[in-house]
Amino acid sequence: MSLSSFSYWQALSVPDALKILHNEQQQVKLLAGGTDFTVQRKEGLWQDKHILDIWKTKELDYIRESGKSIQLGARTTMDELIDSAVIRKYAKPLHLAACVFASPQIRNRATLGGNINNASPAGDTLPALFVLNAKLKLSSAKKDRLVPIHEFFLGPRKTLLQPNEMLTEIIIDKLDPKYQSDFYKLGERNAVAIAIVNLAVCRKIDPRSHKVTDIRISYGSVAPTVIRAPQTEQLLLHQTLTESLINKAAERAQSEVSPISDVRASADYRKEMSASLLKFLLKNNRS
Amino acid sequence: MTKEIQPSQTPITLRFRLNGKPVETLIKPGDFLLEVIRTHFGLTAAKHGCDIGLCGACTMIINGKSVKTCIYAAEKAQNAEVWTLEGLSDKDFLDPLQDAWLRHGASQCGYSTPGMIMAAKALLLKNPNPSREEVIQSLSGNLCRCTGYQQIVDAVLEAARIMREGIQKVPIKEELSSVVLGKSSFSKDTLDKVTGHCKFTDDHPWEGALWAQVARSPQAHAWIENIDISEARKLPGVVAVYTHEDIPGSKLYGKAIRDQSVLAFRKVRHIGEPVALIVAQTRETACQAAQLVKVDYTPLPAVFDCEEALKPDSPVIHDEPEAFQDFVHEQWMNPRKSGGFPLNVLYYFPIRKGNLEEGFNQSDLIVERTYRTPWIEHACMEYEAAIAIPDTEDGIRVSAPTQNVFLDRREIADVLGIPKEKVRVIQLPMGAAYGKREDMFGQLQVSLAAWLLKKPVKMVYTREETFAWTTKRYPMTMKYKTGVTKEGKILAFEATLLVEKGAYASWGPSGLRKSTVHAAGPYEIPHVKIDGYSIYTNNVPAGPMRGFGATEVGFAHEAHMDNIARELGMDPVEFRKKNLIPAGGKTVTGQILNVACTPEDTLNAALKKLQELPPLPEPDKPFIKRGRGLATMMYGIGYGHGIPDIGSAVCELLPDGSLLVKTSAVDYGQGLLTAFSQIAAETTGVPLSHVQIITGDTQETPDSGSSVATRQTYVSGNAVRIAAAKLQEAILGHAAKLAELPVGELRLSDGKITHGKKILFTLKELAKKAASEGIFLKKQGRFKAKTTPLDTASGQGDAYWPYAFGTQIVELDLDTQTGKVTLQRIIAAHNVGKALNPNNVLGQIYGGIVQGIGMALMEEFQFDEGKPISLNFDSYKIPRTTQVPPIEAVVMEIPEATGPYGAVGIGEPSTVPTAPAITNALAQATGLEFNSVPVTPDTILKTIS
Ligand SMILES: Cc1cc2nc3c(=O)[nH]c(=O)nc-3n(C[C@H](O)[C@H](O)[C@H](O)COP(=O)(O)OP(=O)(O)OC[C@H]3O[C@@H](n4cnc5c(N)ncnc54)[C@H](O)[C@@H]3O)c2cc1C
Ligand code: FES
Repeated sequence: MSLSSFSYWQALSVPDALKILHNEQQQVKLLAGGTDFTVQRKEGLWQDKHILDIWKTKELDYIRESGKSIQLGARTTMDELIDSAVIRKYAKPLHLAACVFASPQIRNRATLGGNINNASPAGDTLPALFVLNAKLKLSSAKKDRLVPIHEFFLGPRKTLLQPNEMLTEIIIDKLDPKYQSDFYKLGERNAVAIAIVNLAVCRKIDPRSHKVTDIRISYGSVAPTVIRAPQTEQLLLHQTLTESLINKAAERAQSEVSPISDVRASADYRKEMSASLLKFLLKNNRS
Repeated sequence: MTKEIQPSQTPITLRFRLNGKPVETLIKPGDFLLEVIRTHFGLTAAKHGCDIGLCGACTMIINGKSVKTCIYAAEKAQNAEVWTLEGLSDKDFLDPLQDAWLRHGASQCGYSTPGMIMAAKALLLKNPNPSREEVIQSLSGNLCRCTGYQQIVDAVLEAARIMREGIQKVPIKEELSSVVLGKSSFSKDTLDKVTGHCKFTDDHPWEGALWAQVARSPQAHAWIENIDISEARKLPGVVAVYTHEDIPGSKLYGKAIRDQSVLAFRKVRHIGEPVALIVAQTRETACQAAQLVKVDYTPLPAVFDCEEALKPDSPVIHDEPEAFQDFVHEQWMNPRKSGGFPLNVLYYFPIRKGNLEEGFNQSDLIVERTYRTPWIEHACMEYEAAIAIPDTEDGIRVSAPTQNVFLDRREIADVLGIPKEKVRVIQLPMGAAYGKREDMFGQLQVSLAAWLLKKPVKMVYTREETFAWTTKRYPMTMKYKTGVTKEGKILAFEATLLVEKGAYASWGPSGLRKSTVHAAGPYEIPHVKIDGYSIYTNNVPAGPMRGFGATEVGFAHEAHMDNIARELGMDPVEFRKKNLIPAGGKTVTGQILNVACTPEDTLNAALKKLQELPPLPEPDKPFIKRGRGLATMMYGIGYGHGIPDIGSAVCELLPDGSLLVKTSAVDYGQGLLTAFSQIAAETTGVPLSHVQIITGDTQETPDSGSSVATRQTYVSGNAVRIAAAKLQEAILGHAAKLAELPVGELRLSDGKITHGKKILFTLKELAKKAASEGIFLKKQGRFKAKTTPLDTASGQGDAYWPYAFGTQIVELDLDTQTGKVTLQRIIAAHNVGKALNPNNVLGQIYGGIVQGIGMALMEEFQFDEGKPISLNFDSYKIPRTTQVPPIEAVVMEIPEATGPYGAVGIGEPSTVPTAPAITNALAQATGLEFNSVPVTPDTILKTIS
């Protein structure tokens, strides 16, 4: 069951990886943990590509904290996210997303860069990264550029990444302790399931006025790409989170999603869940 | 750090440490580590189970972490430290995990065991003191279809404890006693499963074997106008391409009815039907050539639904005049012969008792419902595989996962047109069966190719092919109508059962009879009318699966009982108690149940357990609803219906004093080898570790029928007991002669023949003496189960013998916001007569229940106009560790007088009540009805709103 013949490079440094990308252009496909790539290749995709393995590019494997942001190397694995105290403290939705990600055997190989670049609308870290205002550093041999995550995805499996580029770093906002934040994956928890709906929310409430001073809501699996729910956010901003407002927001959220039916769930169910889960997280009903 | 680029062209040298030793091998870029380890190093513990990272069967430990190696590029292992299960033990010592696995009975078929142990090992390396929840979470990437996970989790926790005490190695112990019944012993095959040395069909190298692949029909129903194989033949590497014209013997096969073609001729009746057979040097070439076979079809209208297939204008699927003349058992009713049936009816079976009209007239309430169960995939973890090797003397040897070697032999011999004696079928260890392997998949095709080419030929399916092209549990539509008095006594029961068979019969008639006889459940009802129809459609053929007709109607009768109780306003337990068949009561076929354990005994045992257990904490969220549901069942063991049901075994004392047991009854993980070894040891007095056993070999073992219908513990277990008792008599007789003592004063136990306190001989000494004198100590035992044909017009008579009963109680939480169900606890009370091996009995109960959980909550195999679309474990979900609640088993041991040491089977009964107990709990939580399965969050929310 081997694949047709092709070349395999192992890059031990970023400049070398970028050099190969520069020289080979269209011919090369990046490989990190390989948990998406190998499965897709077995299904017949990418047969014409050479492989550039960046797993051993240690300089892409880090979690650093500085001022108001956190920088993550693209090669950081889900396990490393789970184990990181910084992530747990300042980026709870990402921590929670990593916790419910696949199974142990996958979590210690699946990388953040891979999850982003696989560009699945169901990718579990993506809603978390959306609410953390992630910026992606796309590097090529010539230059680096920073792209906000909400601009990166063009459709299922389609992104802004150019053939000579790779994602090297993800920069996220640190959520100060005044934020309440959460992530919820509907699907079997920790059980190798693709999300039916996943949802990340973070919000800040003024302790005196009880009004919402910042709110970010992001859904996965309910549209061709992961989305923010701007109208719903607008509806809640500067308001007090009453039961009736939350219900209204949930209704609004339903109109912002455009799910499809597939083997895992019907579009109707996804729509309904988009509302229920938002209510659930906003009411802080979580166990 | 040196910055270094390693461009590598084919092939590259991979150097790494494998199980502690440095190794190197040449690989092609793009090879996966799993294949490299299996084929370059012959280490086959890690298995293919899905090949896309979903099942964990391929788990190894790489640099201290568990990895799914089916999706791990081999190059990544450069300089790595790789461990497979084989590396955990040597010939004298086991890893504490392996030892705990044995003592907890955590392995059944053993196919997923290696990956599971490695995942557990990785957990303990990281966390030596995991909680139960952590173990469950850590194993959630590993699927097991047999065990139900409970004993696995127990084993991991215990191994962790032992390792924390500083014990890293456990010596392999032998069982030197012969007094082993009722102990959780294990036989040698189980040891092989936990050390990774158990070889399944595809684990053997099969040197020189060619690859076979079939070209399949893309049409669901079509005339074949022409088959052009010329292009396929021209492809380099192709050795031969065959069509039906090349078949020397029968072009049709079928174990119950000969209606299925080995390679299609005239017509195809389902998508995926084999049309041509390609033999090539490699799998890739064979698959490529299969695409080059050109077939001209004239499509016919197709039908994919039972009720449509019954309509007068439905396309007729088997339209040849000779269609199903070839019923294997004459007493089976052949609808074609009796006439008056829609032409797609494969089989019809009626039951009539009392006077239905009168029953309904006397009733105060009539409750009518329709129940549905879906297509369910067995999901055996092992892919279908088959190998045929021509023998030197004009014969052929065939191995494949099968539940009956003798029936496989008959079919193969007929297709090849040679006498049965020239075909030898040997069963190898198999990655479970659950009924699937009563049908044949690759056997006939590899036999044909090997026979024509006189070369070994093998075929291994992929997971996708296994899911797409093998039989599944048949879907059923069950229309129930029941009349009851207001006091809750059932007077009349009418049911119409529609069983979808797909395109071919498989075991349709026996399955339908089982459904019909069990349709009313374990309730005594005076007036009964049941009509069962088995119906052809253009879907992939359906076949037997655990419970074989009793599981599907089990869902219907138990959901129905709760629906009636609700309409009566009566407690479902009380309502059941008023109607359960008492000892000496009658089933719907008029059979008097002279049983020591009644269905009500199991109901009471389950309720008692519920009372003893601490109540569950109340759900703490307003949107979580708690539900409790109960279901009870009966299951008729054995073939029944007058079909000869015979077990046969041979016991022989070998010259080295060990005991050899032979029977064709095959073990696919139910623990038969252990049970037979235990019966043989206990009965003869030979220590368990000196018992060897050969099963499933048409040349070496006597025919003991199929491993189906929960019959082997009972039928073949009895045969082993009889043979063993005769052998002991012969051994003692011989010893008495040698010692010149009266035989009645001698005893044989633990391998020693004693007279009072004095040891006269060890068995070894006696065996040696006997051998030197040319005396063979060898005996055969046969056991015939009671079975009588039913009246074909009324279905009255003694259908099965004996019956097993059980009751399960489910407690669950329903999240009304998402429709998600979280099972909290399952109580299962089953009578097993005698638990010959308590671990194995528990394993059967847990495993059966977890398959029932799948049926209730997630499993439905989907087709789109006859095209299978649930092709791997992502679209066809089976329960994982995280979805299984604690199971409290109440193992009842009320002996069955005719069973070996009182035992009856438990394999199938445990799966029957689970699904309805779950839906009844949901009904109780919501006040609504759930009359079809699976109930997914999606359907639950729809029902609620
Ligand atoms: C059994 C199983 C379960 C899974 N469960 C989940 C789940 O629960 N949730 C979920 O979200 N996903 C899941 N996945 C999908 C997958 O594991 C994730 O998307 C993972 O994060 C991919 O990371 P990787 O390092 O393995 O990526 P790879 O497979 O190595 O790469 C994925 C894609 O990203 C590209 N890529 C990788 N790194 C870079 C980079 N630095 N710059 C540019 N492009 C790059 C690759 O070229 C490729 O196209 C599952 C997969 C499997 C096999
Ligand atoms: S996970 Fe590798 S074979 Fe299933």
